[in-house]
Amino acid sequence: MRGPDILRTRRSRWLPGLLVGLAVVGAAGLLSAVSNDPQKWAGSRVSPVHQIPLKDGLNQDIVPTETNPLPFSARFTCAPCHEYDKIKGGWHFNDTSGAPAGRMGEPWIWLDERTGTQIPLSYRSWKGTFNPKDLGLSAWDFTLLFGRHMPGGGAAEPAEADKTPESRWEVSGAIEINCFGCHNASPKQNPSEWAKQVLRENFRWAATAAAGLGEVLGMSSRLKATWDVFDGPNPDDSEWAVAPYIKYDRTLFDSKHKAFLNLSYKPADSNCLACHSAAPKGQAKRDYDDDVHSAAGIKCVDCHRNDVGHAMIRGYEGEGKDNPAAAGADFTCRGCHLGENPEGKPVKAGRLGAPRPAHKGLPKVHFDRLACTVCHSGPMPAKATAGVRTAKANRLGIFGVADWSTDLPAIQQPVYIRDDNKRLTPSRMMWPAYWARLEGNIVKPLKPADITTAAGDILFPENDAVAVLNALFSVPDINGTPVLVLDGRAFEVNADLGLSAVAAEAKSKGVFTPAWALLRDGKVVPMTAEFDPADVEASIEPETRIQNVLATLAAMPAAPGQPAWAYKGVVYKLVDGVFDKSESKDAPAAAPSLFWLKSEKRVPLLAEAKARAIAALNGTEQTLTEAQVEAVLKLLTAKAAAAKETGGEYVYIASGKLFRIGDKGTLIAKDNDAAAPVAWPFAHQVRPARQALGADACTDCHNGASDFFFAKTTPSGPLMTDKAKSRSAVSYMGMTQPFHRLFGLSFLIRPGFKIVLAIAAFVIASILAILFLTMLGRAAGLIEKRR
Amino acid sequence: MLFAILTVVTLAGLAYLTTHRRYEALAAAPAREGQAPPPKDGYFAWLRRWIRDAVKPDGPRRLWKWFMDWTSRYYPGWMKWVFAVMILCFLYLAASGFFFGVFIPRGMFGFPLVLHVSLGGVFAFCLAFAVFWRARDYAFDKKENEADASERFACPICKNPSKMLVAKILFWTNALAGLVIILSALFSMLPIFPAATQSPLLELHRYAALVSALAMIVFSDVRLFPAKTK
Repeated sequence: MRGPDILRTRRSRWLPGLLVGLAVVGAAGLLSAVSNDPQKWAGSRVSPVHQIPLKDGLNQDIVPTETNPLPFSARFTCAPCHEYDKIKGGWHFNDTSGAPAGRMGEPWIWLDERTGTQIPLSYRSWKGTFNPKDLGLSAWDFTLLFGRHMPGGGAAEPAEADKTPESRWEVSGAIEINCFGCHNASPKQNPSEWAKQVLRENFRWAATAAAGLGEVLGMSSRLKATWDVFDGPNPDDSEWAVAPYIKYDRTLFDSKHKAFLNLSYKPADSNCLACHSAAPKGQAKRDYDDDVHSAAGIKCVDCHRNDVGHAMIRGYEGEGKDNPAAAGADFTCRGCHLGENPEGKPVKAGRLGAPRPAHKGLPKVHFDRLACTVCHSGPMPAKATAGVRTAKANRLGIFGVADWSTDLPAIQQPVYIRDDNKRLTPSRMMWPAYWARLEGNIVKPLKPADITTAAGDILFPENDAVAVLNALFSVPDINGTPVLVLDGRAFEVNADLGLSAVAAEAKSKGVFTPAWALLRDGKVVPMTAEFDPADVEASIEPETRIQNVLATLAAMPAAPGQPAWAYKGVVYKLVDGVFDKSESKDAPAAAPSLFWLKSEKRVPLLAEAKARAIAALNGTEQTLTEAQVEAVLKLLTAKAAAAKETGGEYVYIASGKLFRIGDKGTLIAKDNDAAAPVAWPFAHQVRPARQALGADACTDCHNGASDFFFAKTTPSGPLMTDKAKSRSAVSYMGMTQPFHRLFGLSFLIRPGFKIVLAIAAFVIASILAILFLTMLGRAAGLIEKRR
Repeated sequence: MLFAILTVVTLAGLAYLTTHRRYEALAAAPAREGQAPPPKDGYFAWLRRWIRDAVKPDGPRRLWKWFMDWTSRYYPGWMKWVFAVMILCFLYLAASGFFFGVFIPRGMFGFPLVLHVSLGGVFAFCLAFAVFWRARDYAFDKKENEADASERFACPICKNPSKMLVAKILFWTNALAGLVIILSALFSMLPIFPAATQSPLLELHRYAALVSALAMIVFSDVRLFPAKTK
């Protein structure tokens, strides 16, 4: 059926449907007014079987056998029983609504590896985060960046006023709250499919595809901005710009087109973990222990409960102030285990079988000044804080042919910081990194795209090398993989058109003049065997290879000059396409060297600055060197001067420092509030009690070299720098290092101290006992009798 | 809060009572040649003068003389240093403990706490030694009942007890309070009692310390620095 036909068909059913819908809504409203709360639990502990008609965005029943059916809409499908607008006020969906921010949570992190950007974002007013709107990110931009791990609603379902002109909501549709994302008990629920559909801008189709209700094909992102869902398939293109369409799984539907939806009142942990996973960087999966509660069979939602309004209990102390629906709830550590609700009032402990810990010999100050999670959650403190990857930040849990996960943003844990209750809380920490304009004391972040445009190839040091290596692939009879040899390593082009170091040795450690070679049978070999250019017969074969190489390079689309090859006092080049061999005017090259001849000047195929950047960054999680930062800042400054911009300067913020061009024209690093780290508390994974800090002895924490107090935290991020200043854990705690060194050392003599106290007590008690017995004897007359 | 109020009221009240009693005794005593005349200008004027005298430049010298006199009688030889350390520790422990207990809601922390705990151990050792060494002298017998009227407190309820009897009671009270202080500190450090008992142990520690301090004030008045009215 063609687009206009679909439109007519739809509209013919649309009006009566709307009227019926209005009538139903009106009746439901009336009913709710009568019964006060239609969603009040009647008492049955059985969840209803969801064999229900699926509704599309027009509140029409979906008929899977119909041509080009629309995707299901949670708003209308779930509406008969669940108030969509009430759910929309829930924690997962209300970040753009101005709801109370509550305790700091994990921000969204805007990552652009190429420009070395990692900016913490949140619509909630959390300390250290930027409101996306302030950075010029529209709801559309935000959804494209983070929709992969968003549950729908919020910014992904913007109000009309928030739909900016450049957005494509009309094509993609909004992302409604994805009820299935959490409540689908079907093993078909696929977060990776969700991410894929979101990245294809198939917003309104994503839930249907991810839930396994049907197969969604086509990509909104390839359609013209004028396309509308009612236009149907794109008649002009059935291969590239294919409009999204659905093939519903017909086995789910009965004869009345009611679909069986395998929904669970309590979401499975795996659905929560799709977005809330976190794991230490570099740890093997088999070494990772579940949270002790999960291991005991407790589900995430057993504690993180919510009512129909989906105001989730986050479980932190003092939550009642931020979330009235959670007021009085006792689902905190103290609530279940110690019998104290978040307001510190007594409640019945032991909920869900929580054991009550004795904490024998643990001074009270620990309860006053530490959150339970300090001792019981997260990784054990080590000599230095460690990297951690989270689902939302590092794009975990999206599986496919490509590796979606990223090393950046760099996040570290555990850092112990005081929360609003003045208690130390284990936290994750990241250092914002971004380019900015410094105006007075105000730091205004710049969009990564603007920097990419302005900086040009400074931020793409490998591009020249990749272009050369790709060209060399097509040299006839090359018989090996072209590689770039640099600083003792060989680099080949990878699938992402970047460079990867290969596991082969190359003898050029510390040499940043690029050499071009071949990887053959796991060994790096020169492109030509050693020969004497003067020996005509012996040089036939190598010179043929040289000619082929030069011809290939000359054919490169963006060749900046004429390729040339120097070797033992001879220069080979192509003159008007003819192979030319001439005496070199320069000193004889010991090793073969390839270069461009540009106005008779030798220009290396890869500039040394770029070579150094490649050598420095390859194999690390960093994406920028200080030299690149300096070059970009100088470029931006020059452009600003040319444009006669005044009243500010360009800076780069990373690793806890503000980088700028100093008076001497070199890069300098300074402290600045804008570079301060952003931290948010975490509560899981909770370790078993026997693995709690202090379970073995006080000296788990209180010793002269305690990892808990003295672990080093070195700011990390996309910039490779030695300017980042390490800090001791104790400084983040707001305490002094000398005191805790001394206090820790005092535990060396504490056993002896206890013995002294015990002896003193014994002596005094003995004498008092003798006194008492003497008095008793005197009272009884025994002593006088004895005398 | 209760502890803070009780501490302030009892310490201030007892300090007043003892000094006022001393003032009255001095005021009632006949003037003697070579000594300061009995105070006639009121309690507070006398107290000001008394404090001023105490902090005069020769104060340390007089204190040293008193110390040598006292220890030569009761703590001869090296034992005088045990006594000195005990007194110094007691002063720091009482000062730091009551200051933080009364004025700092969070309680004691940081370096003062480390010093408090460290000196607490030293004090415990010295106290045990003092109790052991002086127990015989402070054992109860019937001699304390033989004191004349000038060596008795005027107390209608307690049948005018002799000062020696009061001193003995105070000595043993101090020993008992010291024992409670030591045990409450020791037990809070041992993995014997659950965390819920930490607060009661701390309260016990504080109240025992208060009793000890009150007893020490009276003991000082009766034994260490008795008023010279004869």
